[in-house]
Amino acid sequence: MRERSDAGQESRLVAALAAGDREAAERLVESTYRTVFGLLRRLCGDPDLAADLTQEAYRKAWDALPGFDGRSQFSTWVCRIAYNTFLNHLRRPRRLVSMDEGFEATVPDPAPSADEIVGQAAAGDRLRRAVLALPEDLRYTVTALFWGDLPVKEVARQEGVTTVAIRKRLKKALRILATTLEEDVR
Amino acid sequence: MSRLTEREVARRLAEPLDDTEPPEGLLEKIKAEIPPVVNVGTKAPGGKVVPFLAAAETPPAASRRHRWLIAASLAVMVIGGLFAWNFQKRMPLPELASEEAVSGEDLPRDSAMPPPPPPAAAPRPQASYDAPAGPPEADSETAAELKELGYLGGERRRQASPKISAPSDPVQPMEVESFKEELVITAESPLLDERRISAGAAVAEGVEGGVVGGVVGGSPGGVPGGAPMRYSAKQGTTGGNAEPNDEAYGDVFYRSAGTNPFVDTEEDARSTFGLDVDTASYTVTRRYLEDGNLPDPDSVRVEEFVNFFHYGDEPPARDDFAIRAEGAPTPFAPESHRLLRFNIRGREIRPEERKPAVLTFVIDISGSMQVENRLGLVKQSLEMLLNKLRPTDKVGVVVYGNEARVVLEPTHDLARAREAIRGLQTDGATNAEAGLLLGYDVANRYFRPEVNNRILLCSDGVANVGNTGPERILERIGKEARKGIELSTLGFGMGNYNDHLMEQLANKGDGRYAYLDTLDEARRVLVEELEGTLETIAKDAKVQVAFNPEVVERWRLLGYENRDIADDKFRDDTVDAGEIGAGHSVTALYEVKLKPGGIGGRGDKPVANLHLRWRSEKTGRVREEEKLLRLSQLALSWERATPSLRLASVVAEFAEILRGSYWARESSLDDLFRRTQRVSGELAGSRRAADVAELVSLIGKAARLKGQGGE
Repeated sequence: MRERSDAGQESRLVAALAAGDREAAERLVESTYRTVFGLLRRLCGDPDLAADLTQEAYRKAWDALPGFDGRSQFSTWVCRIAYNTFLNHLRRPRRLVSMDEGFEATVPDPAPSADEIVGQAAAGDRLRRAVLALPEDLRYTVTALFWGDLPVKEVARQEGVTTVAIRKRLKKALRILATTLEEDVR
Repeated sequence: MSRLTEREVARRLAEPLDDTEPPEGLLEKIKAEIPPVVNVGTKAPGGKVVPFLAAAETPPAASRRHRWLIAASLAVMVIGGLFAWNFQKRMPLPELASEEAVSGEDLPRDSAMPPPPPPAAAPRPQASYDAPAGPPEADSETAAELKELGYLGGERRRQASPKISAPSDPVQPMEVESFKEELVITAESPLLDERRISAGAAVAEGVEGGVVGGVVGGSPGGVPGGAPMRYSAKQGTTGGNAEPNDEAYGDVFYRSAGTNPFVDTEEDARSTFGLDVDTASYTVTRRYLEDGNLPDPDSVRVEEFVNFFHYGDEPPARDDFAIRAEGAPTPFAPESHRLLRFNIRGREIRPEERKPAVLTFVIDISGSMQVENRLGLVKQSLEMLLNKLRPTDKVGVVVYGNEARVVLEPTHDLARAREAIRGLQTDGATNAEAGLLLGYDVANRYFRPEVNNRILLCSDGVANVGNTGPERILERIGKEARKGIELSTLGFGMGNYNDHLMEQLANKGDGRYAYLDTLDEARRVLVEELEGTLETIAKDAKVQVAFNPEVVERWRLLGYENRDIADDKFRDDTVDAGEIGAGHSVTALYEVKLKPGGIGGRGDKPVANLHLRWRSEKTGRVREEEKLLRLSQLALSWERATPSLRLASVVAEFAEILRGSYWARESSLDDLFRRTQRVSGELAGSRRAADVAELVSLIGKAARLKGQGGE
């Protein structure tokens, strides 16, 4: 699916960046931006918006890097920023816009165009919506594991919980998703 | 249709999309925005270089420091291992297949770790502790951390006092001994009785969740047959909040979230929680005692006792909140301890300022509502409410018994609403889910963004919420709340009352949960405090209190166990926290142990700094306020403490005794009774004198029931 940047490589790059090597930042971007874009693409369902948010996420990352504690890998960390960027995006327009309306606004749910194979696209969108409707911690877990392609251990480390807790969340999330999707089909 | 398996969902999630390739030029755009100098956080306070990727380096140190945790983590490993094994066996996902179940690295690490990066977009507050200025050497991470703690003002953001050690300094030595002792006590505390430890998993989660403070508090939640209602998003400073198992909602009526432990300030100087304005636990207890029974300890939530009472704190003139802070020694704690009281009082709105409301009553008319004339009390209560409404408000009525039906579409005609409610009769089984769903349908049809859209669920909480457990309905409630339809729950009846469910529903629905044991209580909630019950002034309100490690040795938050928020999530505005209604008053009490020599001499030091963060309903913006408490503001003795603080103190102690808190093990209801009598005498003639007089009588009843002779 994607080349996972290896952890040693990443920490070396961050160390180099800390030492003032600006090029290291470029290498970090190169090794992570596909993942970040992919994650945002899955979350918001719209490639153009995903590209904008990807840019924004990196802007925030550079600002926030002084607070980066190295507890998780850079890629894990930047995925979390991307995820937060997405959530903030939803909230941006107006306080009273609900998350649901927000989703609607960012992803106008167009009447399926003629050439669209309705089934598949709709199924994908249903899945996306179902994920977005999950409670926060479960939603992040699913997003990080499946769409950010991050290892369980990394997500656990970042969230400050055990891998067991992450698996538990995942299990719960999958159960809810299964129910939701099944319900939708009926 | 065949059932969709979790495995199938996992497969779909992992399915690649066709067009996940980033657009051309994106890489260049991102690179072009890399700033000329990128600062990376690599240093810890004091200039010591923390090994980068500290995660890989710290486990040995962590295990040295938390040797005590190993015993607990054995439980984690065994149970977690079983769980993971079972889980993997059932669903070997590609990503997971290579992961070992639990490794030593899975020990809770947060106490040894610097906090994770702040939410990217969260604005930093301009907090100040007025700490003595130190050398301007602190690097940015130190500055950020201290600033978050409130030690560093925005205007002096690159200065930090060398004397204040940042509590989360990953390399600083800790007072292992006292810490250890604390835990031993806690682990042996009577709270950990068998009755509550329904699952080792609860302990396990408590351990893995009790990260920042490191101390696993009292009894993690878990009632026999306990139910997972709260997603474990909020691992934080306290124990508890555990999810005992994955079973669907059973016959659990109360659920304890444990008791907060004492936390070493050196370990964790910050306490973070979501505000809670519920008062139901007190009225549930009142009902128990009036019936001649001691309450179920699991039904006692300290903060709901404390927040039932009014302490005479003035509401703000213009702003959303007024914050008050004070402290004093208390008779029930050792000499070196102080009780701190923080009060957060919400803006009041006059009845005529209240937004018009569209209220959808969802009323439980199932057979159980016939018992004790519950439905009768509902009718009388709602009728009182109707009398307070204005012609601009609309009221609709949905009922559920065997099935849900709309009795009255929302209308301005309040006389018709009155008739409709009077005519209700009980009918068959309970289908709360159907009732709520229909209620939402109605509320959605009549939804207007500019008014207050709210569902009032009146039930005894005996809810067979369908076959799927409460998750789905909770999901829906959360969604509707975000959209602007809030849910408040009014609990009635006793016996098979489901307190936990009613609380969770309101919590998820951004509304208030009240338990109406009497018509008087209905009057209080629906008439006197109608504006607060109907109109929210602040959403996702949370508090972070930072203690000054120079002055405070240890601290303990009384109550709010199930409102715990991880310290580093304080500025994460996506975290769901408390909703505050107009005029509501929230009180947080801390018991702190001062350092020897902390009092007197050496100037007027800060003791603690409270940050309040909320989203204002008026402006829609997130705001933050702070309140500093200094040593000079602490009363020198119990006798010289304000009546407010003394009242809060006896109320909290009452709750602590009733829930069997370890920390109240030496308190007696007898002493408390006398103390409360004196407080009551002082408050005679005040607005809430009647409440306090009633408190005295309840303590007396409880004392008699405990066979201690209260009067």
